[in-house]
This record gives sequence, structure tokens and C-alpha cells, in this order.
Amino acid sequence: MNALLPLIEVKNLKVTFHGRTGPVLAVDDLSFQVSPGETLAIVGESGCGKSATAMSLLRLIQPPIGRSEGGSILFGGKDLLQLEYEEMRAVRGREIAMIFQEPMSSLNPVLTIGRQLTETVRVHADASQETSRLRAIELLHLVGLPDPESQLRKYPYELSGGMRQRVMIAMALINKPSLLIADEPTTALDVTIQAQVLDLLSKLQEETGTSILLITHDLGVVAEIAKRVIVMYAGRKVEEATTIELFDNPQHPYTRGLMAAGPRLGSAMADVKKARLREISGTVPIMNGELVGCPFAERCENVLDQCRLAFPQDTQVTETHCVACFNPNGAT
Amino acid sequence: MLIRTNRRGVEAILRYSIQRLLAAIPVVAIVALIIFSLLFLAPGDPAALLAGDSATPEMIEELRVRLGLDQSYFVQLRIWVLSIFRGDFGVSIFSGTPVLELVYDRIEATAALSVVTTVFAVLFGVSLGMIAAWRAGGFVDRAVLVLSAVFFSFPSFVIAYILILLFAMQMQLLPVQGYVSFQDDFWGFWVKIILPCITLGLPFLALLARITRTTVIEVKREDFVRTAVAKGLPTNQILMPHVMKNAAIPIVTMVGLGVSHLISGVVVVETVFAIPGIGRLVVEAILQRDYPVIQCVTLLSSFVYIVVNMVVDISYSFFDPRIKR
Ligand SMILES: Nc1ncnc2c1ncn2[C@@H]1O[C@H](COP(=O)(O)OP(=O)(O)O)[C@@H](O)[C@H]1O
Ligand SMILES: [Mg+2]
Repeated sequence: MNALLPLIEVKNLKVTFHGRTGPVLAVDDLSFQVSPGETLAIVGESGCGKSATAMSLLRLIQPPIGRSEGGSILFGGKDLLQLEYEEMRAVRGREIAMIFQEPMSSLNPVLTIGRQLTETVRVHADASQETSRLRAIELLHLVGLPDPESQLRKYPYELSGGMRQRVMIAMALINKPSLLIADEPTTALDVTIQAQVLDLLSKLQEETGTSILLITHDLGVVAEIAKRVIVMYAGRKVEEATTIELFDNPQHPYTRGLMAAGPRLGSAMADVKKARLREISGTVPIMNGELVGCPFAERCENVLDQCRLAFPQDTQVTETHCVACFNPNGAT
Repeated sequence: MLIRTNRRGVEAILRYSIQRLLAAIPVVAIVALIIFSLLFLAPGDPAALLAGDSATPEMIEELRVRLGLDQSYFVQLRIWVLSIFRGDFGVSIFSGTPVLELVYDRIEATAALSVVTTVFAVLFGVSLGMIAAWRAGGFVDRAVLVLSAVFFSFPSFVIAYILILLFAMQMQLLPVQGYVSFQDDFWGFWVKIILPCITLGLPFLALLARITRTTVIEVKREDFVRTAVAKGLPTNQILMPHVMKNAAIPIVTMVGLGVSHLISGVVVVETVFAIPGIGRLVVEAILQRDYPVIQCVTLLSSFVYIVVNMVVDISYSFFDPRIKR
């Protein structure tokens, strides 16, 4: 795995939102890479900066809302953060595609499914109306929508949430991107549909060989399809490991907390919240520049004095497993 | 394209339009009744005005009888309604010309003025609003906000006199007044209609720029716009159709309101710029208590109002497929 050149390499990424009450540091000093054909998951509670990370890769966070600064995002020999607008536009939807958390509102309500799919082809390739239509039908078929031809004439409101997310997946894969970013693709869906969509994603990955960056708050989802995992907390990477290592030997107190709270795949959001409250009390702090040290210190059962003074360096557990914690084993 | 039509769609629209027009008949009837009653109750006597200052009471009374003004309210109303059903709107009390002929002679100027004004206001208003919204907080945005407040609050005649002073008197670029039909003098038509259209259109444009700006800013925040950006669409395609088709309904509603309001603005502008249109016709008719003319023009404008509203309503379903008729 490490022999392969990474497909995308994020180094020291920092994302700031210009919030009402001042800047909010959503992602701080985050580094990771995704290899070709691999599925990497990013997990963490809501508000940890997962979406901010995902959107930065496509440079979707722009002033006045916020900005991605510092560090670099190397992709195909280029730093995405340095690209001109038109160069970045050529990457969006073609090399890197994204599925969003909200299937109900991510499709344009007043344009047909067909129009939204074909324009995605035509904006990046010199394809005829007919070619792009055939491609759209092919993709709808691939994601398992019945009678793809008649779907093209439909509007989003005529489809269920699960079907819309399938359309989003079809739209994301239509130009054969090398990286697919899926930001909580199943969170808004019914339990049974969640499993179907996840199965679809892993099946499609086998067929197309695309890399997937899967974002989720649900460790059950991670176990299902990811090979490696990054655990994020308050904009920081706190642990990184292969899925097997993470489940066998979780190091960070936060990771352990997540696992204890760990809802199994398919449990409803309400259960997740209840479980989380029981296992790790407190909430993710908002990073407005006042906090030093480890952001998890307030909620951590292994907290030491030094935790409040500086953020811990990464410690290698194995070659593929590292953790950022002064006291993973609970010494006092 | 934006608007997809097929045979079934066209049939549905036709059926809907006919239904709407039929449903509007009572509205027009009530408007007609109100106008008729108001005129009946209003002070002023056309016979006295027509007879002139030197007329004796006997002469005036004789005129009243000839014009049918001595009849009771209900008799007059019945006569009027019956003649309308025959397509007869009567003759002008003053000139003796059939009312329809008077209206027909004047309608071109007013129609030209309204159409050119609407196109001007929609084109510039919507574009400015879009640019302002796309770079919210930028220079164009602030300029649009200030100018739209100014133009919206200035009365038409003030704008008119400023424009005349500037472009007609000082720079002598454009004629001060008048109208020629585009059939007679195409170039002259445009030269003469510019200032009246700007006068009539500026408040309309200002309103449209504002509503477009607000709506586009709102739509820009929607998730599907983020999807459009993430797909790699260029800005012009994100705006058209992704943003604008979603923003269309409030804008079209405002266009409809604006067009309905032109009817009153036209009176001022036609007077200031000496344009022989319906607006001036009705002002003269009111001054002279020329009942048949007033009644006909009022009916006409309520009909236009109804048609404009209908077109706006029908356009909704083009812009948003979720709106079912
Ligand atoms: N538009 C925004 N303006 C200000 N702050 C924001 C905005 N979007 C997100 N944030 C903040 O950034 C942090 C990370 O958010 P996000 O990346 O959406 O988290 P996640 O996807 O992990 O739930 C949160 O603290 C959130 O409050
Ligand atoms: Mg999120």
C-alpha cells in the first residue's frame, strides 16, 4: 500500500470560517493521504470539521464564508490550493467529485435529473447531447435505478431520498473521477436505505477503481467499507490507523469513547446522540483561538496537566497506526 | 432550454387560460359597475361643460335629454350594459367620435411605451440585481442599493424634468417631447421614446434590481448551488439556469406588478412628454366628464391587468415543475 504514490496528499491543512463572532478554526494542521483505489474514512462527532475538510479538497470554502489556508493539497503533481480558478474548475466534477450530506437539497429542484446529469458530462467533455444522454442512462443503471430512461425526465421531487442519493452518486461518478468524496452519504437516509447505499458505494469502487474519502460520524459505516480511518476531534487528527488496528487496539480516549458509544450500522441519529451523551460527556468545543492544548482535555478521563498546555505530537504505535495523545493508557 | 413545451403542455395552458378568462368575467363586471356608479355619483355635469359658459339652463337641460343623462341610474346602466354586449362602447360626448376609434388611435403609443419600458426595466433591472448579488458587498452591489433607493423614491415627473433638462435642453441630444409611430419613422420613434421610457422605467428597474438581488442572494446559499460549483460548472451556467430558474418566481411576480403599475405611470409620462396615448386620452376625458371614454378605458385597463396576472401565473409552472395547475 505504501509503495504506491498517494493519489492525494493533504499537508498541514487549515480551514477558517469567518463566523459572526469572529474566526472559527474548523480544521487545524491536518495531514493525510489517500492511495489510488483506497477507501479512507474520516470519523468524528458532528462539528469536528469533517465537512470543512471535504469541501476544502474541492476548494468550496471561499471568502466571504471562510478560507482554506496554509499547507498544501497535492493532487496529480499540482497543489490544489494554488490553482487558478479555471484550472480548479477542470478538477471539480472530473478528477474529484463529491456527494453531499443532504440528498434532499443537493439536486436542483427545478431542473430534470437528465439535464443535471448530462450537463456534468458536457461541461468537461466535448460530448453530444445524445452521447451524454446515453452516459447518464448507463450511470443510472449502474446505481440501480429502475427504468433509467424515464428517470431522466423526472424532477428531484418525484424521487425518494434514497433514489436522489443514487442520482447524486451517478452524477459524481459520471466522469470517472479518481477521487470520490462522500460526505455522510447515508446520514439523511432511512436505515434500510443506508445499507443499500453503502453496498452500492463499495460495489462501484470495485468496478471503477476510484478512491473514496468517506466521511461519517458512524463507526459502523467505517467497519463496513473503509480500509483506513482517521479520527478527528475539533479540527485535529487525533488518531489514524487501519480499520482493523483501530477496532482491535484503539489508542485515543476519544476513539475509545466513540466505540463505547458506538452505535451499530443502521441505528438512528437519535440513538447516536443519546449514546454519545452517556459515554463521553460534553460537546465539541468551537475553536475560536482561545483554546490551547488538547481540545479533548475537558472531556477526557485520562487528562494530565500537560494536556492543557500543548497539543500532543503524533506517536507511532505501528507503521500504520499513530495517535496524538500524551496519555493513551490512562497513567496518572 | 429553460422552457420545455410539448403538445399536452400547450393544450393544458390553453385550457387554463380560457378558464382564467372566464373566471375573470365577474371581476370585470364588478369593476365596470363600480366605475359606472362612481361616475354617476361624481359631481360635474358633462352637459353643462359641453354647452359652454354662455348656455342657458334650458339649453343644458335639452342636451342632457339628448345624451340620455336625464334617465335614472338603472335605466342608464341597462342601456350601457346592453350596448357593451353588442360591442358598442358608445360615442364620445365631446367629439362625437366612436369611443373605440379614439382608443384605437391612441393605443399604439401607450402600448409601445409600455412594452419598451418593460423590456428596458427587466433587462437592466434583472442583470444589475444578478451582478450585485453575485458580488454581494462589492462596488456594483452598493451602487445598486443606493441608486435603487433613490430612483424608487423619486416621483416620475421629477425624473422626467431632470432627464429633459440634461439630455434635451443642455446637451440637446434628444427631443423634448412628442411621439412618432415606428411605422412612419423607425429611427425617430426610438429617439423620441428613450426619455419617456427611462422616466417610466427607472422606478420599475430599481424595484426589479432589488428583488432580484435579494432573491439571488438567497438562492446562492442553497445546497444545489454548491453541487453545481462542485461539478465544475462555469459561473454563467451556475447562474443560468441553476440560480435564475429558482429565483424566477419572485422576479416574475414583481414584473407583473410593475406592468400593472405602468398603467398609472403612463398618465404622468404621456402628459409630460406630450405623447398622444391612452393616458392622456383618459385625463382629458375625466376633465370633460366624457363618461363613455372613461368607462371604456377603465374596462380596457382592468382587462390588461387580468391578462398580465394570468400570464404571470402561467409562467410559474414553467419555472417550477412542482407547481401544478
Ligand atoms: N458557514 C460556517 N460559518 C461559521 N462556522 C462554520 C460554518 N460551517 C461550519 N462551521 C464551523 O466549523 C466547524 C466544523 O464544521 P463541519 O466541518 O461542518 O463539521 P462536521 O462536518 O464534522 O460536522 C464547526 O465548529 C462549525 O460550527
Ligand atoms: Mg458535516
